[in-house]
Amino acid sequence: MAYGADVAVLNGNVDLVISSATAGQEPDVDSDQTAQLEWNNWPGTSATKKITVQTNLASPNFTLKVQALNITAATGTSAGEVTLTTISVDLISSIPAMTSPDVGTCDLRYTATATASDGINVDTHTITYTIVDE
Amino acid sequence: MKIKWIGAIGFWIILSYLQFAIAVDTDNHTVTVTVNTINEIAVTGGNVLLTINTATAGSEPTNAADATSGLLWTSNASGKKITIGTNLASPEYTLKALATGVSGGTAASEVTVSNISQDFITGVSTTTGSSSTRYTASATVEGGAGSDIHTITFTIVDN
Repeated sequence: MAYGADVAVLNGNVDLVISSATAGQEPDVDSDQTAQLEWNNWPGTSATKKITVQTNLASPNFTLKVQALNITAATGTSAGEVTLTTISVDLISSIPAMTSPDVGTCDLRYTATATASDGINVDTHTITYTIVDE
Repeated sequence: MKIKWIGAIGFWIILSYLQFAIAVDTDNHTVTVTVNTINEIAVTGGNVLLTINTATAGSEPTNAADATSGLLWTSNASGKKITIGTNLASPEYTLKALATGVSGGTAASEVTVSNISQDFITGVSTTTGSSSTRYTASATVEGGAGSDIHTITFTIVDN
């Protein structure tokens, strides 16, 4: 019997491309909702858990946000949309102990925004999700 | 032999403890954000009609002016300016244009519009901006009566 907690990112990497604007306005936002997150808080640990998220990119050129959507019922609570930085922030909280093989899942909605003054560039983030005690 | 058994039991206890203790797990993936070159410009206010139909006796016809149209633009690239040009190679009357109320750039001096592009607004690099366009039409009595129909084109180009 396993104890502890697991978290896994599904559906691979994500590419966001901003390449259009309405004249007089900032560049259009790009978003993606193809990636998913899966987790389990195995029985045997009484503590509720949370999932945090952070990027390894200390000085991104553009703003990147993520939100947990469509969370499986009774497996956690979304913290809403968060801006990604190198400091971990809560993405999902109140994850109860589960009974195998129950798992929590959600869609990950990434949103990238840029301003005209940000110029032209590429940000490559390694996004890390961590499940820890609350 | 006894020592081996004790060691095995101890290892199992430690392993069990670690199983309880592993309350943290991580996973990651790569998210790439690419921002490509964006240069967008739009004319606001629609088409413009300038009508010259008065004069002071003994003087050339009175100029007609209009400032109802303007520009909006977005550029995330460096080293850009906006030029102005007309498709009309040989207009009968003089048409001048000046950018006023410019935000996100610097107005060039008033230009006489021709089919050779001229600077209209400079310094529009990595900005969103707007301006009004003041057109002024002038005619001489030698120009007679008639109409010039210009298609005016504004373009974001490299400096």
